Amino acid sequence: MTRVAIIGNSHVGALRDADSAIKSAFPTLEVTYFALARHRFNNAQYGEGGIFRADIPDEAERKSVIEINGMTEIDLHDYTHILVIGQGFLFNGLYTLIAQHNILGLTDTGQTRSISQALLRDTMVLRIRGFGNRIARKFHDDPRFVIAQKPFPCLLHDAATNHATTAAHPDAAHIGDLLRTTIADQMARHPVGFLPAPDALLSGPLHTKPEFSRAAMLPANQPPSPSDYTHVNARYGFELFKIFANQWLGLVPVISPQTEKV
Amino acid sequence: MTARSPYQNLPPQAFWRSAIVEQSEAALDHLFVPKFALTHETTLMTAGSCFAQHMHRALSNAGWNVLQAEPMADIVPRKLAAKYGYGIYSARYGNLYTARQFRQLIQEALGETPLSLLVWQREGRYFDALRPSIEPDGYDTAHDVKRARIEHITAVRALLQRAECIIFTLGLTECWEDTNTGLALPTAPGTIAGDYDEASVTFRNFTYPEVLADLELARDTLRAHGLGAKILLTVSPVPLTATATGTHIGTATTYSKSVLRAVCGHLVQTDPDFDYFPSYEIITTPVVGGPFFAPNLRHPSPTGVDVVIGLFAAAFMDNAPAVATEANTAPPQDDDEDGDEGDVQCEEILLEAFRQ
Repeated sequence: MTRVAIIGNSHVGALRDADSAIKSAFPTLEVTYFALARHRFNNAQYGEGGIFRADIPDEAERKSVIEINGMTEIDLHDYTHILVIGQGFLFNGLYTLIAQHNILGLTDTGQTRSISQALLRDTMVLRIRGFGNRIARKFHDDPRFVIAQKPFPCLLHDAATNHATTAAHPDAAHIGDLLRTTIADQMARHPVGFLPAPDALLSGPLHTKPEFSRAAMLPANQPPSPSDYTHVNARYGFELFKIFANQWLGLVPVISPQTEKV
Repeated sequence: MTARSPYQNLPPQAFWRSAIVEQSEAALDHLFVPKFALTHETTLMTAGSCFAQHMHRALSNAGWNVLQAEPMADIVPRKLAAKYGYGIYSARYGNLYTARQFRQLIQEALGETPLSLLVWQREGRYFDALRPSIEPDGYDTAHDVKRARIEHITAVRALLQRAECIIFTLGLTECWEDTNTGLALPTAPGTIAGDYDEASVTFRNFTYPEVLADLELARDTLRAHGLGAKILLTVSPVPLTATATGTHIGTATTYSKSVLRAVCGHLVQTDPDFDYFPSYEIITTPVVGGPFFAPNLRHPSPTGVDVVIGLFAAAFMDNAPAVATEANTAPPQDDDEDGDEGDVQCEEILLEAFRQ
């Protein structure tokens, strides 16, 4: 059995939702999940002994972590690969910068203040490099770790977010290319692997296709919240895992009724 | 009958021995006696030659109400923002070394002169000749230079309208002027961008009357627009990097600093709108234990800057801010920023997924 751990923040939910499909499609794998709320994941430590341990300050939170995972730490030392889900690479700040400024040389968005493309590019590089350095260091530059980019949000028509403004930019395709190139270049500097948000799952340069949103798979009696558009569903989770399994384990999925159900 | 001398009953600060050699506290208190009051609420605008960057940073960190007309978002790392001219002064004008540049900027911002659009090129990139260092690699087009300058001048106008005190650090008297427009430039063409051509620029070494006239005209322009900002002058203690006068750099530096210092002295004595803070003396002389230069014998040492700001605060002691705010201005670089916008239910999502 090849052992794979899937760890990360709330975005692990999409893969956990696809667990039965993953296990059917990849019967030679033993898959374990360990998820923490975003801030708790960011504070968790990966120790020299291979233990990834949450730093939990109070009993209530401890109960919550145990309710989710059945444990507050995971021993990763004998896993073949560890897929780290939901890493945002500080994109939100970049969306803010783009949404609040006219970018000289791109289509005028009517903002009163402008910045140059050079400043935008340098900011992207510095921030993404800093994030990449920190996450690679957090996992001791261990090549068993594969860092997966957080999914882009799905389109929510009346969303008044900086992401939505950036995604609606007339030159969003150029901005998306810049982000993708920068993140790929920066992560290529590290021994840890990097799994970008798959192009095939996108409906635009900065949007995931609507059918992959959590909102698309909610029961009819459960009205979606904004989080159901920033989080993806089991179908996305399964597709992402297939890419990981192919690229890092050389596996192709076994087609079964269970995998087709996802 | 006892002989009398006009020096007979003077206070300690009047004597080198007591004021400097003995570093009398009473004398130190008289090094700078402000003509006008500043409080932590007084809106300050900073500008000037590179020493003014120390003033801006130190005053901002110490909690003075230093205006920022062209702020950059905290998500841009501070060093990177500074490389692009953000946050080093109250607006993104780069270094204003001369009184002429200062006067020129105020006149342009308040509409007394037309938009100063002077574009230099370097390797296919375009630079604002009046602040060529604020975009290290220049702009894509001359149109971008114009757009950025219009935004900048709009911001400077708003800044002047808010400023109650302008702290302006005079740097030097040497200057290159664009021959066609007469505009004073911060650097010679060919240094950062542009091409040096004897016909296109004229070298100037401003005289005492010229510097005085520029400062007075700057003030007069403010007043003509109903703006009441006082002007607190300092002279940069940083020597010239190079001189184009044909003289030795040492004597050229002394000429520049002497003229600037003399103009400040005259204005302090004669004009209620101007005051002078002696950062030049603090850094370059033993007046408070200096001189305070870094090993390159050019830049002030960190200790020297601390002394300058400490004495500045002490002069306005009753009104100075109580708490330094370095921590308050540090940009957040936390990965927690990377949550989903409007995201309040992430843990619920996890719980749902893992409960299956």
